[in-house]
Amino acid sequence: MSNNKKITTEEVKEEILAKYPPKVARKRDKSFVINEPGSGQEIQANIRTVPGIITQRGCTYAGCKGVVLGPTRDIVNITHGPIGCGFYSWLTRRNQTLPEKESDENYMAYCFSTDMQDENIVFGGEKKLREAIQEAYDLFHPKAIAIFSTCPVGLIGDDVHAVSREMKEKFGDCNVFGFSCEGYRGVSQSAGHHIANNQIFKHVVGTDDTIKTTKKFRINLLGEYNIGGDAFELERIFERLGVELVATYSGNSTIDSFANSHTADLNLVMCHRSINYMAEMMQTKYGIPWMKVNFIGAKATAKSLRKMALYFEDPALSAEVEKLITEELPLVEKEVAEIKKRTAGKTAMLFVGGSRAHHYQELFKELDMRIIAAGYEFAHRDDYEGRDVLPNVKVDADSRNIEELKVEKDSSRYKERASEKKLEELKKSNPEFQNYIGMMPEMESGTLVIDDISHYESEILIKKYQPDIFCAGIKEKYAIQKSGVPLKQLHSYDYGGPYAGFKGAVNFYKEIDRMVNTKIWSLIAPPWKKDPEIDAQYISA
Amino acid sequence: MKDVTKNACHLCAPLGASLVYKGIKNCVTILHGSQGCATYIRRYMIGHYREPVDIASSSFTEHTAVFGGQENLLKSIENVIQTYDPDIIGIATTCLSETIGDDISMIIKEYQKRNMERTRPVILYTSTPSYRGTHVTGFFKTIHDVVTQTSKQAVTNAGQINIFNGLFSPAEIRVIRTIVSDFSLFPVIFPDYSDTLDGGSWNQYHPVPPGGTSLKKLSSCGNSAASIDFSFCQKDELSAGMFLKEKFDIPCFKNAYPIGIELCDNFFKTLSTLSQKPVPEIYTQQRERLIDAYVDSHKYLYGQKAVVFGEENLVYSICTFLAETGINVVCAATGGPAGSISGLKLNDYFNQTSILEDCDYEDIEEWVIHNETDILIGSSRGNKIAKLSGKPLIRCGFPIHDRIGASRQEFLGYNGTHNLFDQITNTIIERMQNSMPANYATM
Repeated sequence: MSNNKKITTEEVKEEILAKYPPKVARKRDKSFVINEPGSGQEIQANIRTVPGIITQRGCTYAGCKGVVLGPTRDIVNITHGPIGCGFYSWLTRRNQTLPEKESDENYMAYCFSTDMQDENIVFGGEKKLREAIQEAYDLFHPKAIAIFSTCPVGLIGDDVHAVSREMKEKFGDCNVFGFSCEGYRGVSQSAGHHIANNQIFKHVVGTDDTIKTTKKFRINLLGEYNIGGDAFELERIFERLGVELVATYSGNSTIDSFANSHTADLNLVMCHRSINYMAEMMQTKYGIPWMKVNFIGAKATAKSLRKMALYFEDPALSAEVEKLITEELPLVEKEVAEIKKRTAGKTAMLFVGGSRAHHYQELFKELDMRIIAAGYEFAHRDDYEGRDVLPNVKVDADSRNIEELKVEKDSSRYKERASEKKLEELKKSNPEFQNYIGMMPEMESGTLVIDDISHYESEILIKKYQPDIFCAGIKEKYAIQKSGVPLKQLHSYDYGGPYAGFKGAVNFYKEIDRMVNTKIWSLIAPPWKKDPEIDAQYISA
Repeated sequence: MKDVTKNACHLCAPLGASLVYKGIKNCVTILHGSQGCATYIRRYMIGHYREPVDIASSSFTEHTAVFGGQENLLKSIENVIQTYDPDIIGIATTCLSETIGDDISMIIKEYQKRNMERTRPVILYTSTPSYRGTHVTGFFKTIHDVVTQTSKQAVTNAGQINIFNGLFSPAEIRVIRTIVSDFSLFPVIFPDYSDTLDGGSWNQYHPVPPGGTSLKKLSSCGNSAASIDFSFCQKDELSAGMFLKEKFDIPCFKNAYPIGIELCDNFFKTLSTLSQKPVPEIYTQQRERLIDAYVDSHKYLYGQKAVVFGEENLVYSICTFLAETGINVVCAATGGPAGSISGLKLNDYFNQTSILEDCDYEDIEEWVIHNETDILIGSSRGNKIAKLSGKPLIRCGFPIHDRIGASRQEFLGYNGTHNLFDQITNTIIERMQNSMPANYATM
């Protein structure tokens, strides 16, 4: 709750910007919006962070290797570069995986690196890379090896794609492909997501046409990375509904599931930012429609399942969905009714991700909490304002730098899943069919929306508003908590979770209840500071 | 060197530099390179220390990577000054800026030319390409470079000595300060992140967390009567103490991390000599208690087989200590370069110790699988080996991200050794207890 109610949002914004040199202030001003839904506001996003401003953002490599490819267990991921990047992305994202059999390939616990040294920088690292791929192949005989380029690789001119092709041909039974995801290449990890999408689409998707199950409804779940076991909860739900999850991109996934994923009938998109490219490309090439869903929040989950059932137009499936909702939702609502008594009216800020800052608002709403500020770390304008703005988004040098694949209909694999007419009808009944409406339309008027919030800005927000909870990641956690505000990590979930689906929602309610109602903060001031009498006694003694 | 490193036992040099800069008062670090470096290193240090770690970046773009990073670095200096108003900015390079050959000293000169009127902040820099050395060499090199850039000599201050720390925990830095002060010496301790990386809750907002070695203290290094430098396993070129010895003729004592009787004795003897005071009673008592504990526990420890891994200095000191207790170090492993521990004659203590240098965790795992081991001592990254082999892991060093308390881990000095000793002994006793068919309650 705001300590100082007299200060207006405009004043806070002004005060924050006043600290910056004028040019920086002008730039930050455009990423700093006081929300007015329906007024056609523009927010600046996916623009380079100003040098020297401490950002939440990571690099292109992090988005490519860490986020999108990291959760797939049976690809040997080799970081081509000096040791740091590989080490820092080694099991640090908490995406869980569960091989079906103990003997199944699982390289998640490994961090492979070419550990480049001086001489590799001077004389080139291709030889070392070639030998590293060979060594990894000899050791594990994996189905696939992926190569991730770090900053110096692009500069010294190593051709990771040529080396990959050469080794793939040499092995014959191992798919080797590379990623030009040097850290400096894009604005944030977002560029890495795009590069990852492109290369998986090029090298993996569509390489296995077998339909492996007889289930009637076959879908892919895109942009679900199984942090804290979220994908497990969703797998449970789809299993109950009799819906086949062909592939999840990329939580708890295998490369074979990607290879086969073009045979699905519908793509459900969770994290729009990181994976919309894949949804679009699969639609163009194979004819799979997509829809935006959100399984964060119990009501949102129910809504998303209904949207899916609507697409399939199958009474039996709709009945299953309704049955599941009637069974599971009341249990969740019973829990939240009790917890809400302690959370209602409290305030939250969310600065995270390219989707989470939006998705998690659902859970807070279910707790009757108010969102007073939110923003993304690496999103684009469409994630804020909705995809309708896409034609108006300026293509700058940084965006041009990332390859846009030219995708065409696959003559043999393209299959029309739904008629044009049906697609049009679905669009009318579901605003998020092949669309994402973005975060800002769903936020209250007068709330703050800030893109790429800096360390300094978030500390000022804390000082000014003292929200009851702040959601971000580990880099912000301890700085925010120093000032007496609990921080919930929405990257690693603070080792909690799952938070998706029905069971996940209950976990989240309990977690937020614990955090906003803890007694710890009341202990900060010692009694001799709180009680002047004790203070006086001490002095006189 | 092998072709593919599997689960490296070392991190990159800019992390070491960032840690040292956290030990300077009111200092903000800028990593000159891609913003991912700053983000990853922050993320990693925060996971270990559970404290705020603010590192700025010059945020290279493709354009910067091609045409050079000068303008980006100048901009980042300006923005850091505006938002944090630090006394010092510490710049460290990365593989990216080093590969394109940015000359930081030239860029700093350019900054000074453009800002003649400014007296602060002072700008320090170090060159830490991650394709050269490890986080350990980056750490010591930064201490060295900071001291070369800040130290001045005026009048020798007989009671002042320099303590150039190793990769100690915040709690250990506090212990070192207490010990040195108990000899009535005035230490310049550097780096000192004992508060910045282990602070309390705040009553007021601090743009930069309080604590650290002040610039004034740093510049007085040249006035000290002696230096104790813990870069024991490092080459002299990475030693700040050796630099001061050459430049100002200040005696330098290169000490190993004081763990165990022998290495603590060396440290205390050095302090006694420098202060010309006997070792305070409190420490001789601590020493006696430690030996008493060695005696009491010898029956449990003798012949136990330990595998020790981590940064070279810590591995060396722990091995030396374990030899005193009767534990047999069967394998000593480090991600540090060849020669970093093998030159230290560990085999004088043990009959046969396998020494692995420039190794990764897979080499250690391989070793553990094929040889008999009772206990593992090293960082959290040994967790996979512990799980696989079923052997207990005593966590020490960096990183410790799967247990709390890394900042308060205290293994230096007689008392600190005693902490480590009790942990090891109790772990071994617990294993014995659990493996006995007839359980027993007393020892």
